[in-house]
Amino acid sequence: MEFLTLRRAADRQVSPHQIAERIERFTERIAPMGVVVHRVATIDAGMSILQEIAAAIGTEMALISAQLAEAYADAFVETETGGLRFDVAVDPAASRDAPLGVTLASHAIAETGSVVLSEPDLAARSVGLLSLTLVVIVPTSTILASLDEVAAFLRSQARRPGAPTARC
Amino acid sequence: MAPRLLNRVDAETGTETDESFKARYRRALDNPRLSRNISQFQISWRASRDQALTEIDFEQLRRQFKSTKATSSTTWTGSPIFSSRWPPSPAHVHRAETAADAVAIVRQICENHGITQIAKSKSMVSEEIELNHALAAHGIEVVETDAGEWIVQQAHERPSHIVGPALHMGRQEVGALLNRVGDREVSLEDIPDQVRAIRDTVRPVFFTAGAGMNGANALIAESGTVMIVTNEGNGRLSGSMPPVHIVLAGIEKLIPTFDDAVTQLRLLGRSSTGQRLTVNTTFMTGPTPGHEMHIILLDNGRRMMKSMPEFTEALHCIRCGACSNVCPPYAQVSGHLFGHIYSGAIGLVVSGFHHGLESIADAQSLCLSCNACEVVCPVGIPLPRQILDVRKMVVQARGLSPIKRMVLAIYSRPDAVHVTTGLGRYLDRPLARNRMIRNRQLPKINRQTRWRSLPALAPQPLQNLTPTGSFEEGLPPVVANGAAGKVVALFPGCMTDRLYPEQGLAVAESLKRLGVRVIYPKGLNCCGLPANNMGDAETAKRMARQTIEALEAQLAHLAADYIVSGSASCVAMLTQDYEHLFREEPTWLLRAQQLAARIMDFTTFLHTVAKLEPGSLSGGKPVRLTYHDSCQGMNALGLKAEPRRLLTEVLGCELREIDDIPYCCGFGGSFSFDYPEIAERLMKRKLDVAEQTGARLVVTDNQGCIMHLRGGADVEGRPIEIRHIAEIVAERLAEVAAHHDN
Repeated sequence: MEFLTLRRAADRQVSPHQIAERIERFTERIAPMGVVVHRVATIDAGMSILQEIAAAIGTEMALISAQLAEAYADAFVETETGGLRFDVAVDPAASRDAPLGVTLASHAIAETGSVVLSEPDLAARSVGLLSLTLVVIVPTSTILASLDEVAAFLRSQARRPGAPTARC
Repeated sequence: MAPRLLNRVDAETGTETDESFKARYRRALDNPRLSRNISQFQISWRASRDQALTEIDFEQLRRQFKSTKATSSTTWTGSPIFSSRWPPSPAHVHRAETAADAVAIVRQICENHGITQIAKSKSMVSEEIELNHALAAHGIEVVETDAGEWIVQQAHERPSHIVGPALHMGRQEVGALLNRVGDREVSLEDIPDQVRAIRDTVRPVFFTAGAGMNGANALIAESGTVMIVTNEGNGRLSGSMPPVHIVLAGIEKLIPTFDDAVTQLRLLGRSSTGQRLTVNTTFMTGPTPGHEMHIILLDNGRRMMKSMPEFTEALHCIRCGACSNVCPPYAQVSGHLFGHIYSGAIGLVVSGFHHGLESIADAQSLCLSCNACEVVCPVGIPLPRQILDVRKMVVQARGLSPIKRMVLAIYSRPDAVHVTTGLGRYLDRPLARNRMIRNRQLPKINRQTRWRSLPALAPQPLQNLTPTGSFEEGLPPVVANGAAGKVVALFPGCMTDRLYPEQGLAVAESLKRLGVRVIYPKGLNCCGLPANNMGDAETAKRMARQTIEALEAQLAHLAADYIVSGSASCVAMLTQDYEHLFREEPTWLLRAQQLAARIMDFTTFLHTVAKLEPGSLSGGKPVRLTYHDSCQGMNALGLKAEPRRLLTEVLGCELREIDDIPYCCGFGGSFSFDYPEIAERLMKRKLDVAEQTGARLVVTDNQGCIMHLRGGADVEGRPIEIRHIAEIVAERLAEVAAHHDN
């Protein structure tokens, strides 16, 4: 499983230094589990890495979650170079053993080196569940320091009508 | 439901085998790979767990979560979220009083939807109610999707561990099984290849099954959320892919908030597998859109457990399996014997409530009361005490063996002990060589003496060698210390009195040389520990009352500041177990507590009262030694740094640490007589690791360990001496005193 981290405008409540610390801690915690963390400043840089990953796997298609497609609508079109095609997951069965899946994390947790995936429907969930190689996009502003902070997020998610499941 | 004592279905005939407990015990011992695999796992788990704990304040989290669980249990009937439907997509909540009720509910759900196959994620509750077996009788196939559970399912066996169901199997066994049941050749050595084979078989089931089933690691009351923890992701797959999702959970899984869930997560991963967090933690609030979700809350004896104060804390269990991971007898026989469906120490406690007392009556005798389980339990369940309470119930139902009844009948009467041991000294004199009675002299009890020589009774008991009923004045202190001028009543313990009086004399001499007046109470007998550990509560109480009365009488005559014993076991009994024994007798409880406030073991006395300065007794004859932490000293009394500080910093000895995880020597009182095979293996392990330090002297603080290890070293002719810490201290004090005199 490999990660792309996109840098966005810094969250005003968390200083750049704190974000940097969290990224470092997150990376330190997740790397020993065989996960590769890529830090990128722009979406284009992220696309390049996706192309490299796809080439290494030997696929020209990446399955993406609907949330990711919505969040980065301009980015996830078929690239001009590299020819990587992005299909939005709609049928869970089609996700089964997809060579490459890309999804969007709602959060990451520096304390544990975890990502939080909050997916409202089965199709979106199937990308993370069934892809053989999974790339998770984590906006750095969403990296939380500890499990205690994620509890508040989980609570807010659970109390929403039609609450989705969340996984970390 | 009648308890099923069997452990396996015969793979060839498909019929259930009904081996006796003894037969299964023998079979387990005859499998050398079993103990090797589990022991190796225990070592690696310990390293991972200890490393993972360095990141958290384990004690604080444990206290916090213990409090949470204690509070949660009062709200089982008051959780509206889990008792009623809520819009817009409710999960259906069912309550099952019994195992049969739960099975019936699952079966009804399946029949309502025409479901003939369930993809099940790991669930000990489903094992508890033997769901797979029950549903199979109605044409509903349950496919285990956890790799370990799938393996044991294919092997027609029960899980042998709460977290690692196939822990008892090595890779070759798994590979052979896969080759038997699969459709391709699988490596006997390459675990990734084996995992791929299992994945290829199990993965399609998530798409074909009409229902997915999970247990729950927690039920979060504030929102009606189910928390599921897995490493394989199968929990989320089984909860997401099939159109019907069934969650089966014990009602004790309720916790109030997400914050409590976070605390549980911090403890669970570290305690179960040594991970900071398991790979997947899933929170499900309501069904997947378009799907249906059912939550079944199961009682099956939990309310009864809650109504009995001595067992309530067992409901706090978060099913981490840590208690199995430190258990010495478990490692020798696996969870198939050490438990009944639920394995490990927790299994010995809860099984009686879920499956009847008879289901655990034999297995509970495998506990040797080393207390290691309570030390590592992330919710601080007093498992050793609870297991002894189960044992007492078993003894009440079944009675004790004739030999044990006879031994306790004699041992609980001071006059009978006096006569018996007096006679014994004459009888064992021709048999003893260097105060050991060896197998060649007692071939008829070969099972007991082939591997361990027994101690001969001392020529004179300690009470004959000291002014019993009186006192000795302290000597001018050899070194400045905080105990000088204090008065201490010596509680030697029965083994010291009758087998090792020199150790009692060493304690007394040490105290005197520190300027302490030493009182020798008369009328002391055994504190009742053997009776308590054998499960004979009434005899234990009788002996406890004798002890309390004797100490009170002596202290009324000669006042003492402290009561000191060189037996860590006796101190644990007097200061901890007496409180539990007399919990329903307020007068005796108060008397026990008043005495307990002044009782301490020898090492603690030197550490906290004498407060010997570093180097104050060093400079004498060089001593190289290793230290064996007795279970009662380390796990019950919390001694670890104190004896080491005494031996190295104060006495200046060279300490060579044993390179092994903390482990019982195998004595366990009557355990070593009931299960000599296990006791022998543990003893040999301890002697091996002690010898590997290069030290020829093993020091400890408990007479049971000394007896056990000396006996083993004697049989094998090992060049190793086992002595009490008080003897080392007394000798050094004498050296320093002689030096001063010169």
